[in-house]
Amino acid sequence: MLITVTGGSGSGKSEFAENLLLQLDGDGSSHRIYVATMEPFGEEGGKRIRRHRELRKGKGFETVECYRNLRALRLPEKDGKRPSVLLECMSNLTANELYGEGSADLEKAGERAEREIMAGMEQLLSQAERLVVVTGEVFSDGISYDSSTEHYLRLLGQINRRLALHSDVFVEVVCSIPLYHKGGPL
Amino acid sequence: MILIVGGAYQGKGELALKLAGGDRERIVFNVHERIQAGLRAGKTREEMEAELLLEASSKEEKILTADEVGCGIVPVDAGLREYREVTGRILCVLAKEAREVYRMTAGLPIQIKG
Repeated sequence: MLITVTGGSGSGKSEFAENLLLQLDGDGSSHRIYVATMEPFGEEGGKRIRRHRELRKGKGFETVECYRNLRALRLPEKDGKRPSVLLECMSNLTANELYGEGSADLEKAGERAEREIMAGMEQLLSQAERLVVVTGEVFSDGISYDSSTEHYLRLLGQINRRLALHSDVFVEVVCSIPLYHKGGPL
Repeated sequence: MILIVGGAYQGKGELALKLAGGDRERIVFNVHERIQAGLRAGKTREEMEAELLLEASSKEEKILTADEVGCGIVPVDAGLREYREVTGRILCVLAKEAREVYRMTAGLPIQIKG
């Protein structure tokens, strides 16, 4: 089962996604893995990661870091059972894949990034009992950016659309309130 | 309390006036602007949260409007990043306390709570 959770900055989407996974796991006996995609840069990055760790505390997540090359990630099984997985955040993973190789040809880098991410998603989905992916609504500030950022926006928009296509449930969080665009409510 | 959120210029104020029966006294317009001014004046998120909740708890039900400011590329400027983040968090708290929450798009309200 694939569930995609989206929302703006400070919308409460992370907390919602975590609680949703817990709720779906029911009795809480599931093995839960948190795939963290944000590289800890600088003080603010560290603070953000600490805040998220604090939010997850006591919810029984094992954290696995994956900044790029999702396709190669192998999740441990426990007692022959596949884990419940929360991946956060697709917006970071996309930036890491797009810019990480330092390629000057962003057109090509974008195509490669999309292929890598979609293949990685397929891999992840095959290893997970259920998968919740958090992504971001970053498309509505009405600002025209430089070509590098526009490439990113287009790529993430495309990935979000493909995620939605393959998702059983696609939910947007607004002020901590879930709006179900596909499937659900859960 | 009633909370109305949405992008800029989507008719949030108009809906607020309609719900308030034209009584502007009952409306707190553009909460996001107040948060931005508050941050500039050195107020903390908790202080502003408390102020807004106090104001909203008046005898006559208040209607608050705010832009959703977190739906863009994360700004390079640290102050702008903080403004977006704090606004989002405060709106989560207001939405939790609100009896009804509306989201406006192109003048069309969707009631997302209540």
